[in-house]
Amino acid sequence: MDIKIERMLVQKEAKDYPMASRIRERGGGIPVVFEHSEMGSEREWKETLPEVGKQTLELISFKGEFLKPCPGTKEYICCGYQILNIGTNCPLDCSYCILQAYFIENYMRIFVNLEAKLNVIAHIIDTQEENIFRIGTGEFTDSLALDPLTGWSEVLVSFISKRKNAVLEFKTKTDQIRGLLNTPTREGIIISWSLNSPSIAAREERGAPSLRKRLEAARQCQQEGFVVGLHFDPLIEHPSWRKEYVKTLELLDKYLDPRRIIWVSLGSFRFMPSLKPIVRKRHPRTCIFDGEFVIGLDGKMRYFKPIRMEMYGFMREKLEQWYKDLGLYLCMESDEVWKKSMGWSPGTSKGLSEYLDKRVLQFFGAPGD
Amino acid sequence: MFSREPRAPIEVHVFGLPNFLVIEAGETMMIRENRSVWIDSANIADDPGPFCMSFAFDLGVLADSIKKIGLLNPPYVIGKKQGQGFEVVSGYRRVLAVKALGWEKVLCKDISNSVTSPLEYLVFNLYDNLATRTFNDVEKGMILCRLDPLVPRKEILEEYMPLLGLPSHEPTLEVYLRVPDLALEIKEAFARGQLSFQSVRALEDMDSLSQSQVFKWISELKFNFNQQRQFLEILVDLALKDGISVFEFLAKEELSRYLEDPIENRPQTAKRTLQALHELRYPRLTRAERIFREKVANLNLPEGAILKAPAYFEAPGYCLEVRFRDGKSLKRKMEALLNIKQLANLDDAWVEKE
Ligand code: SF4
Repeated sequence: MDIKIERMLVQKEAKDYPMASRIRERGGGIPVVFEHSEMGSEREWKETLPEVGKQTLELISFKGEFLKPCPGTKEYICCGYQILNIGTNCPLDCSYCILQAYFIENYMRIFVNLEAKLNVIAHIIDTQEENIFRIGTGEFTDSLALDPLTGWSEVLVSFISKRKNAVLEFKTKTDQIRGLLNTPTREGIIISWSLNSPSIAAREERGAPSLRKRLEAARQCQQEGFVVGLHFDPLIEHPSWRKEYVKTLELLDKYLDPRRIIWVSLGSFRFMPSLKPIVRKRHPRTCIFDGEFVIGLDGKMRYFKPIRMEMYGFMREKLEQWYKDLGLYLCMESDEVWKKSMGWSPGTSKGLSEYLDKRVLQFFGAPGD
Repeated sequence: MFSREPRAPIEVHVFGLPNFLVIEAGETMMIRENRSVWIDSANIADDPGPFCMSFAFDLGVLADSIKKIGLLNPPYVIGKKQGQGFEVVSGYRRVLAVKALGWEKVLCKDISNSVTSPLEYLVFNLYDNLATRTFNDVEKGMILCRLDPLVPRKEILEEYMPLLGLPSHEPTLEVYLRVPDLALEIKEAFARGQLSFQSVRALEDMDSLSQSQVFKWISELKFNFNQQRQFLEILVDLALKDGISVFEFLAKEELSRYLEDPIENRPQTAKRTLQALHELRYPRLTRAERIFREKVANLNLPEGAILKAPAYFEAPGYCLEVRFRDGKSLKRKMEALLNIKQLANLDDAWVEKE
């Protein structure tokens, strides 16, 4: 996978952090076109650029909270995940990416003060021994796409391996696993791949490696002793979607050992209404809006309920034919949809959290083991 | 009374025609010299020129007023290069009106030597107009288009858009900048408030054939703003899904018959058209709605009892509403309800029973 970064912007307060130096060193040839302190305001800087886009990387010192629970909504069952904010945006350009609506400027940002804040995060985790923290970095960026530059894996793997009650999930669509493979421990680390049908991957996930490449990377991680997760999210209704998703499931069978898969999530495509005009402009040939979307109880657009149930039911059947105990779960769905498509329901967000915590214990053992 | 002779010049510039012009806070541009001169009407350009910001106006009213009380407010002009007549900076409509009235000479203010840059002329005209009237949406588009090459975007967004009553929002600016390129009939409808901003935005993204066809549907079926939104949203989705233009989509027989061969009155045809589009866009939802209606109809609920499904069947469960006069009638209705055997079979609305 080629990362094409053409320029770097370094915030004044960010430039002395070790991660900033590391990125500048590893990104050798990438010109640092601006340091806030030296060249006037950020706004002025942006106005001089032809396109502040995915080719631009900004290194900043993040002022917000690094660890935050996934917001979820009370109308749907949420998995109780904790989001570790390491940056925003990524070099890939998926047509369905929600970040297009969140951030007006779609350049990438790295929070280089992460290492300096790890003690705060450690305190939160360590003082709540009774809870299992399932933490992920892939909410606002791809967890590994920029790893060769940032060295996130080195920093975070050693941090998590010292925690008794936390696991960290790197969620990616890439094959950037070298950093992870070089780390000395596998403890508490889950590497997950976002998968889709081959045609959606090719058409809608611009810049992402092919499914085959992703699964080759996943296989290598399994072989190197890592626990792997899979996410079929967003499931997209497209012509011959059944046949298309089966092709991906066949690839799974070819590449992966299902016994070393901690969980497989299913989530149908959902979006804020404001995303649609943005996507229509940025990806005019997209097929992601072709299905029948209605307004969900959380105000987001989602497929008409029977369509979602049909997709989940189909995926569940096929996945369970492959292996019975995959830790299947639905992302942001109602109790009714759970029951009608999965045959059971965790009932509440707490129930789903407990189910996933059990999977963690099953794969990594109880704290202190 | 109408007079072919110009009246004597009235040396006041009332009705908001200022002798000075505020460009920016703290910076005041003086009109240093505004000579009153009689100019042959024929020497004033007929075309709107680069400073005009008038569109879809009623010349008759203005001409009537000038006919009755004369031209109180003289147009501001500048001399064209090489003495080829005059260009109107402000007062284009007044010039047209007096020309229509057949005046041979018009008393104008010549500001050729006063302000020098196109931006200053433009801003002068803008403030002159702002003092006396509001702009329609097409005029706002014309103004922004004229400012665009002369003023930084940031300034347009932060200063000129609020001045025109528009939000300082770049996508909104983009829509207005494309308004002048729309077909005349579309601009006229937008200026008259018959087309919503959202509709104009959607039209701008279409090819010209599709634009005019969509406009034909909207104007013939007299869609209100809400109907326009539904019509355009569904239409664009369906055309994109089929990989054809909106024009080609509207030419499909199952749709075109609504326009070409209406069997009902206009509001009903409009409703049916939207219904047909809705069915094409949401076939499964439409089918579920139909099945639910049929299921409810087969229940023979007592009078005053209504069974409702949640919006799009998204939330679980249904809602039963019973209207009753008194306790006795409620009891009767409840008993009738309890006796409806098929109630026990009420399940997912979208499931078609054999
Ligand atoms: S990989 Fe994730 S963050 Fe990156 S563009 Fe795709 S959806 Fe957005």
